[in-house]
Amino acid sequence: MNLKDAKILISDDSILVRSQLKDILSSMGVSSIIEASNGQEAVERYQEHSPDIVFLDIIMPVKDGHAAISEIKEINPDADIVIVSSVGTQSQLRQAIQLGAKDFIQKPVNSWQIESILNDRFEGGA
Amino acid sequence: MYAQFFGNYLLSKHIVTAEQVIQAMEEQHIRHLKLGTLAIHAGFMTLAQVDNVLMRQSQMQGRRRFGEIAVEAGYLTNEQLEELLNQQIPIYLLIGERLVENGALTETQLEELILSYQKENELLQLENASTHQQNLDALFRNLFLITFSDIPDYLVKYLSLMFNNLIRLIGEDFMPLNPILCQEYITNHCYGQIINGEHSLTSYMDMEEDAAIAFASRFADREFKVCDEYVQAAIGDFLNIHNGLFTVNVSNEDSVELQLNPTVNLENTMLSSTSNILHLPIIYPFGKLNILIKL
Repeated sequence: MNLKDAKILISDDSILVRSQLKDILSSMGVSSIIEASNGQEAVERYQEHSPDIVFLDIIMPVKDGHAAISEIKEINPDADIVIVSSVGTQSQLRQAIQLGAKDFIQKPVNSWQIESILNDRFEGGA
Repeated sequence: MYAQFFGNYLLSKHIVTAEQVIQAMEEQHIRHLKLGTLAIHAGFMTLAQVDNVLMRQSQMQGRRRFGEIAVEAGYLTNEQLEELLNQQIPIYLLIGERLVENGALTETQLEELILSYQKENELLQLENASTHQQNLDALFRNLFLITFSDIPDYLVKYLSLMFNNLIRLIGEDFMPLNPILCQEYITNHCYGQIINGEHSLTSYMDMEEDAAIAFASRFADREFKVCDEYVQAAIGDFLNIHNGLFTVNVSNEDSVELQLNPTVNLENTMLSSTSNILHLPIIYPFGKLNILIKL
């Protein structure tokens, strides 16, 4: 799939992180970006939009990222979920991978990290 | 990181103002250091010997170098001179020199202050990587000595990382003021985050509107004009990144697993505690950051 046609869900409780992620994605030509500000919204948006990839924070109010991964995986066992978190301890990473996350990005977010993830999955990235 | 502590030391002696120290910190990187100051710092020469060499140098109208005269007078060996010329210059000495140049301190005051600073903080003089860490630990413990006679190791680690993250994500032109203990604190623009586990603590970062706008602009590398929700979020994001890295370090180094809770916006809120809240004010040229920690 070409990156320009990709539908991407970003879930983070910080409006600034969401805005930074949106800027990076837009600069790479992505136009279909869906936002969620907690784990519960992430699950609901996933159900509504079936995005091609999810960038998901772990520490969020209402429902945390781990619970959201489990529920999204129930909706679609093949869901492509990338963790974007400030906490990269080995036990956190192990848990996320066991639940089905495919990649991990340590905050603060850099554009090259996002580009690297997307270039591995889509054609026509920047 | 010594610059931040030396600035605090000078302020605590009530000799210079915060503005003068901040200005010197901003300007220090373009300065080179006089050899006499370096020789005193290394313990190779006394203040009187440096004065003597400077006097002789001025009599010769600066035609001969400080090092040559000092070696000739028997104050320095050639090896010591070479060592001084090769060694890495501690940043706080550069700041001191800058303060002299700006007229905030005299040369004699600076030399006396450097000696008392080293003595009071038991700084090991010629440093390598391991003495660097020992020096930093000593500086942290002394900074908190007034408020905490026995600061826990993990808190030293927490604050040491905080200083590193401020340098990395906001800028090195800051200076801590002396920490205080309080039981109540009214916030301005503030985020807090609870860390649960063996080293439980709740930390807060608070600042006034103008400082928050400037802080967020540096953190996000964007020009913010008003204190909107993005500016507020930047405070929470910094705290979250810092606490996340602390959690990772503690897990890797001490095999202790901590749990982070989501950051919470606590604008215009009264923070209170039956035990004490540690309040560490940090001055940047753009304003003051307040770090608050409930243990």
